[in-house]
Order: sequence, then C-alpha cells, then structure tokens
Amino acid sequence: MSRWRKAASSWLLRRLPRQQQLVLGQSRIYLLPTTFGWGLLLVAWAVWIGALNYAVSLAYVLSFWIVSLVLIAVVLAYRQLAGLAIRCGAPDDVVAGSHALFPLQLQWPEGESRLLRLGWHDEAGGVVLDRPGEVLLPRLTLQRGQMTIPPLRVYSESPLGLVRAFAYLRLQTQVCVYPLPCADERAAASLPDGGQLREQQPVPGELFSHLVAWQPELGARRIAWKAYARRGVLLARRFEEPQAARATCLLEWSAYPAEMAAEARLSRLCWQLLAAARRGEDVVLRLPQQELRLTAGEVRPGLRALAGFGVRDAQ
Amino acid sequence: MRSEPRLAHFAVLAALALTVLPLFLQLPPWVPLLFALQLGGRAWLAWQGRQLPHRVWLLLAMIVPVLLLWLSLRTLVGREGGVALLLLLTGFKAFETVTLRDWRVLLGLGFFLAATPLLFDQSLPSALWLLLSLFVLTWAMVLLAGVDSAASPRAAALALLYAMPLMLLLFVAMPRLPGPLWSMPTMDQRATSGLSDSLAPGSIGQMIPSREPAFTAQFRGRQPVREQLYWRVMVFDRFDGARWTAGSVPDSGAALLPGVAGELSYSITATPFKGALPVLEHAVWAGEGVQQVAAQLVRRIDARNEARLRYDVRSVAQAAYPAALSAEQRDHYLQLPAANLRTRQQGEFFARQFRDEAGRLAALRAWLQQQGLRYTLSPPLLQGDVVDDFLFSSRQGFCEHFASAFATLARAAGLPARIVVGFQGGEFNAGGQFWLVRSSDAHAWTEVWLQGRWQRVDPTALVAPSRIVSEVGELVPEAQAVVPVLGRRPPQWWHTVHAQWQRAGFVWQQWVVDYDARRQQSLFQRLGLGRVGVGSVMTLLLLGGVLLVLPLLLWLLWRRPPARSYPVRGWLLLVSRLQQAGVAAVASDTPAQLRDKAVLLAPVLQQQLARLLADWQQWRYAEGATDADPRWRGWWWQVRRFRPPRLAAKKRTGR
Repeated sequence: MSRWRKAASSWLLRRLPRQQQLVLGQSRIYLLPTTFGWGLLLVAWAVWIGALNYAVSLAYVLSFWIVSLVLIAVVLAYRQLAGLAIRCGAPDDVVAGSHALFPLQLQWPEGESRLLRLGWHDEAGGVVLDRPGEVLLPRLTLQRGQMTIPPLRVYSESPLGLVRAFAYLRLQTQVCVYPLPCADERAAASLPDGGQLREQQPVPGELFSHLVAWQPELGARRIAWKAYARRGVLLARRFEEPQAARATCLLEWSAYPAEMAAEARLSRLCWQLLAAARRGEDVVLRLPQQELRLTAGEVRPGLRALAGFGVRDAQ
Repeated sequence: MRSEPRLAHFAVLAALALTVLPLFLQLPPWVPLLFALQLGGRAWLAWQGRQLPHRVWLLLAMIVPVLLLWLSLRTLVGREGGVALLLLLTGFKAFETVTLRDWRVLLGLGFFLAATPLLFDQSLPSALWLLLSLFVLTWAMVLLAGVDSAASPRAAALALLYAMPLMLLLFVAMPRLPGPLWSMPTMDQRATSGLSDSLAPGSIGQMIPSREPAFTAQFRGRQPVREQLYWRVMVFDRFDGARWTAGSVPDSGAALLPGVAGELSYSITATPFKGALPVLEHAVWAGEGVQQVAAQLVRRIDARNEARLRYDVRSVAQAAYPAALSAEQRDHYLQLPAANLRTRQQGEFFARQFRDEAGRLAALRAWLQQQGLRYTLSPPLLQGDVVDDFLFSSRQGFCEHFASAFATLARAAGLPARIVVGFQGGEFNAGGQFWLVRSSDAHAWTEVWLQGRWQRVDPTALVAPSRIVSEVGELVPEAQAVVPVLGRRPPQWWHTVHAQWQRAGFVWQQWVVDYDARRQQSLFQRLGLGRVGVGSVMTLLLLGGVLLVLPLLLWLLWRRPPARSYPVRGWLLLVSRLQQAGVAAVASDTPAQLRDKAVLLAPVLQQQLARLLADWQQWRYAEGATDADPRWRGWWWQVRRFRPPRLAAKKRTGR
C-alpha cells in the first residue's frame, strides 16, 4: 500500500463512526476503476484514435461501447454493495495470542446475485461471499484486554472486474482477551473451610428460604396462599439447604513481588485461576479495588475480571 | 457458486479466436492459422496443467514467424502488416499469461483485436460479427471477475445492453474529424470492383460477371428513367491502336452548364475510381467535398484519399453538352495511329461522301448497325489491328469493342471523338428508394463533337438496344443473379429477400458507416443545434443523457422495497382501516390491544374484527405456520373488505 493510499484510508477510517450494525448506502460506498478498468479505457482510446484516423465508423462503435461498459461497470459495482446489511454477533472470549473469531452477518435481499469479499482493512484478501449468511473472520489478538473489532473492508469487483466498489466498516463489537496463562509454581493460599468469605450457594432442600414469583411449572403445591391472600400476587415458596463446605483458594494481586509487572501478575493469576478450577475449588480473587468470589466451575467472571483489569476503553 | 478460473481462461482464448476469425479473409491465411494454433496450444497447456515454456524460448520462437511475415508482406506496419504482427505478438503473449492480471491484459488485447477486421470491412455482417465478438469478450471478462458460470452469459449480455444507450449517444455526439490525423496508408483496391485507367479489349468485360455493388445513388424528388442513367466516370482520348488512355487534354476546365428546369438532384455514395467519381450525365452542380473538372468529370477534392464518400450532385439528364474546342484540341481529338487501315479507309470514305457533319454521323451510325455485329461477353481474342479485326472479321464483342470501333471510325471520318467509361443503368430498390449500381453495369460509350457540342453516341445501343433498356443479366448469362451453391436462376422470394438485404445494407452504409464529420454536421443542424462545437456537443450529450442514460441509471439504482407477505400487508392494512375509523391503533399493537382499542365500534364490526384477529393469531403462531399458507390470501381479502365507518369525534377512544 502506498503512502498516499495509507493516509487516505486512515483519514477515511478516522471519520467513520462506530456502529452496532449498518446498511451500506451511497454515502459509504466508494468506487474506483481497477487497473484492468484503466487498461480497457486505454484500449478504447487506442481504438478511438484508429477510428479517427482511418474514418472507421464501426471502430467508433467499439471504442464507445468499451467506454460505456466501464461507465456502466461503476453502477453495476455499486449495486453489488448497495443495501448490504452488516452486523457482528458476539465473539467468544479468547486467550491473548490466539485468533479471535468474529461472527459477521451479511444480509441482502434474496434473489440478488452478489459476489463480495470481506476482510480486515489492513490485510489483503478476505473471505469470498456469494450468498447472504454468516462468516467467521479470524483476527490475531496481540494483547490482553478488550479488543474492539478492527475496521473491516468489504469490496466487490463483480460483475465485470473493471470497477471496484469498496466500503470501510467500523463496528462496535468487542471481544474479551484473557491474559495468556503463565505457570506459577507458588502454591495459592487457602482459606479455612466455611470461611466467612464463602458464599452460601443455594441448593434445593427442605428448609423454607424465601418467596419467589410463581410460575406455572412450579406447580400449584408451591403457591404461597397466605401471601396471595394478603397481597393478591401469586408467589411460590422456595426451599433450600445449606451447601456442603468445599476448599476455597485465595488468589491475590498483592501476593507477588512488588516489582512484578501488571501483565505478568495477571498471567500468573490466570494460571492459578484455571488450576483452581481444575481442582474444583472455590476461588476468591482479590484485585486492587475489586474482589470476586467464585464457586467451583465458575471461571468466566474471573477470567473476564483479569481481562478487563485496568482497561477502561481500549481501542 | 464461483466459477472455476480455468473456465475463464478457456473463455478468454475462445473469445480471442472468435474475434480474429474474419481476418482469415484479409490476411495471408497462415497468420490467423498460426494464431489459432498458438491459442489452441495455450489452451492445451492449461487443460493439462503444464508448465509454460520459458521466456527465452518464446523470444526465439517468435523470430521465425515475424521473419516469414516480413518475407510474405514486405512490411510490418500499415494495415496488413500491422494487424498480422499484432496477431502474432498476441499469440506469443498468450504463452506467458499466468496470473489474473496477465489474463486481463490478454483480454484487453482481444478488445483491441476486435477493431482490426473493421479496418478491412465495415459491412452489416462484419458489424454482426463485432457484436458477437464483444459479447464473447465481455463474457470472458465476467468469468475472469469470478461470476458463476451459469449466470455469466446473462450478466455479460445485460452489461452490454445497459452500455448500449450511452454508446449510441457517444457515437452520435462525439465530434468527428473531417480528415485523417496522419497520412492514410494506401489501401489496395480490389481489381474486380474498380475501373481501370485505360480501355483495352477485355478490361470492362472482366467486370461484367461480377455482381459486386459499385456505388449507390439516391434521388430526391424526380426519379430518372433507365435510359437516362449514364454514369460518367472517366474519359479516354488517346488511342495507340489497341488501348485507349487519358491523354493530357489541353482542356479549358470545367464547363459549368446552366441549370435548367427538370434537373435531377441526388446523392451518391461511392469509392473513388482513381480519384474519379461517378456522376450522371451531365452535372450542373457538385456539392461539398467534390469538384467538377475538365470533360464534365467529378473528382474528390482531396484526390489522393481513396476512402468511400457521399456527395451531392445535380444533373440535367441529356445526351449532349456545349463545349468550345480550339483548333489544337480538335487536332487532339482527331489523332489516330497508323494501325487499323480498313477502318480508317472506311471513315475517310464517309468524310468524302458526306460534307455535312450531322449527316456524316447519321451515316456512320447507320453503317455500324448494318454490319451484323453481335453482343457477347466472350468474343474471340483479338490481336494486332483490333478494330479492323472486330469490324470486319469477328464481329463479336461488347461495349468496349463497339465504343473503340466507333470512336476510331468517327475520328477517321474527321469528327472529334473520345471514349467515356462509366456505368449504365442500375437496379432500383423500391423499399430503400435508391439505385444500386454494380460492377456488371460497367459500360463504355463514345462522345462525338458536333456543332459546338459533345454529343453522346452509344454504339452498344445501336447494336444491342436491349442492353440499355434492361439489365445486363438479361442479355449476358454470366451477369445473371444466381442462387449461391445451387447455381440456378433464383425464385421470386429470393429476389425479395435479396432486395431487403440490399436495403438494410444501404441504410447501414448511409447511417453508420458513412456517419462522418459532414453527416454529423447535417444531423446537428437538423436537430437545431447549429455547428458541431463544444457547446452543441455538450447540449446533445446532456440532452441524450437525460433522455436515454438517466432513466437507465435510475432504474439500475432503484431498490425495490422488500416484498411483504400477506399477513404483514394484511396487518398493516387492518391497522390503517382502524385508524381511518378513528381508533388510535398503531402497527406495533398486539391483537388483544387492537381488540381493546376497538370497543367503540359497532358490535357487528367488533365481531368481524375479533374473528380476523383470531385467525391471524392462530395461523401466524400455530405449529409449522408459514407466510406462504394459501389461507392468508383469503384472509387478506377479508381485511380489504373490512371498512369500519368513522366514529363520531366525541366517542373516539383516547390515547
């Protein structure tokens, strides 16, 4: 990409608003002749010169037909992109250094044949699409945090290859990038059983706990009739039993040497978190200004907290 | 489905082959044949998926055909040489096409090659061929762009069709140049269609069997009769005993005849015969681009330009025109070589016998008629004293023999005489209202100077009058129209079809091939735009753009709103009916909300509404419900018939 092109496209991208989803219209579609288009115009010019000199009327016809074809190709290429609706679904969280897969949905009216190429604005190539649907576009994640989907480029040279219609898209989807786990041999601190930090996990049981809104699947037996008589709303009684105690693992930000970088700490905490989950332990994750209590098997909130640590509004 | 790239590659090669097919008729056949072989070889390599030959080998292999080309044509530029060289180079280019970009370059060359057959031929068939070539080239282009192979022919045809109005507009409006940018290469005239610059036994005879069109003429107003159609092209006045040529006549320039009533006004489209153009005897006025020169001839102003031309002339159809001859000119037109002794004696006999020149001419004519001459296209070959042999021994010949003999006779009799070569007659195309003159109408006659006037004497008409009043084909079997292949005399329908085809060719010639700077000028004036200039061209382009191209663009860019299904349409209609009745319904209401809002309607209407809504709810949300359910149509019609009257303002349900 030449310097000017780079400058032009970055200028274009700067002024684009981020959108949840968008439909391409004339204000977003750019049209430029391809090299082939310029080449064919050159051919038309040569034929025209020949026609002028040799007074060959039919050569004028040929020359003007080629020119008209290039001009019509502008409209036909525009039609390839016009009315294209694009949105991005929620991507799955990834670990830093692997590819995030962005599910992009492209829709256009049925029955219109289109041939598009969708890719990242700074990478050549892309995925070829010839019918509406969803494509997964992979993008390498470089660092932990919240990664917003990079600008996309959708383009088409169909049906003649003479003019390229393209549009840049800035969508709003974000993907959560976990820190890359880094083995931490240091044993995590454990809290005593039934520690005060442990949360009571509700498990259906015998003892009455509280009232909840009644729903048909709960059955008539569970309706709290007294409450209905008093308040006129259908409520259901809920019974629970205290859960059996389990080992709890304490993961602390401050447990590492003071000179350790934040990312290194997060990577180690991530490793510890995953290890605790494998062992089936409850986890207490203490980060500066944040404390999470996680029951066994509940890793995602912890990982997300690690991913989102210190991230306010990442690009 | 995307097409396979290999198919696109084959399509490019096929398009190239198809495009240059007409060149087989114009170039040495081995050139297009080699080109076809090159394309075939490239296609075979693509089919087998083999490696392309190295570039060095290509360069070496190129030397032989280019050398051969130079040996056979003695040139590598100009029309034949340039086209042949381009063809060979394109063929070698095909062997180094690998990437998509290469294939596109090759295709671009194909578009350029499509112009080359037009340099040789611009007839209607070659226009149709151009159309076919364009379609196949565009099809290859569409395939290269990756469009599905099944949809590609349609896409190509549509693209060409959309481009056509713009092309037509540019064709009409783009200014033409009146002359070439650089000197035109000499285009070789084909021997069959041209008159030669001398008259010897057989020079016209060889033209007569050819039915090739020579020129067309279109008369405005009065049409001529057949006997008046003497198309004058060249005048020969020097005789060496066997051959008549044009001498350097010390003539006094063009004699402009006074225009008289009943003159014929017409335009001719013709290719110059050595600079000379046909004109009906005798021209009184010549239009733009041509000029009248000595001996009542008409020539192109830029005499070296051999291109086809359309020009306007006015003529008075008469057999004589006044001209003064000086003594020197008189001597020139009386010169005779020593040969043909008997003819000269015969002439001198008449000169002695008839003092009066008019009487002498009449006697010469009468004498010629009595000689028992026979009109035939295959006379015995004459040598030596050709006129003596013809008049006194073989007595068989056609126009050139008669003309040559009569001119010799007249000169010997002391009457200044010369030979006029041109065409006589023509075929009237009633559909197109034009006269088509063919090679077979070529004719030669004499002019005798008498009493201050050049008087036409057509000895052929004296001997074989039917030659003048009817078509030459009736007299000479060789010049008859025959059905190709079958070789029989054609049936009536064939004549009709043939006439229509000629008419199409004429219109084509008039409006497409001959649409040049002059014609463009006259069209602009007819459209009221004045002279061809920046302003008028812009006006025409804008006008045409608004009328032709803009509607097309709007149609192309217009996006149809998505078709709504019956349930959706019906629902929206129902809501609007309720709104008209004064119910504050909105499209986002649920059926229950609509029912509640419509409580002020008459009970009957409420029942109707309830039924409609119940059906809607049931069919829309039932298990396996689709919008394609046939019941929806009936339901939609019920909604259309549901017209609640407007509620009184006071009773309207508030929001």
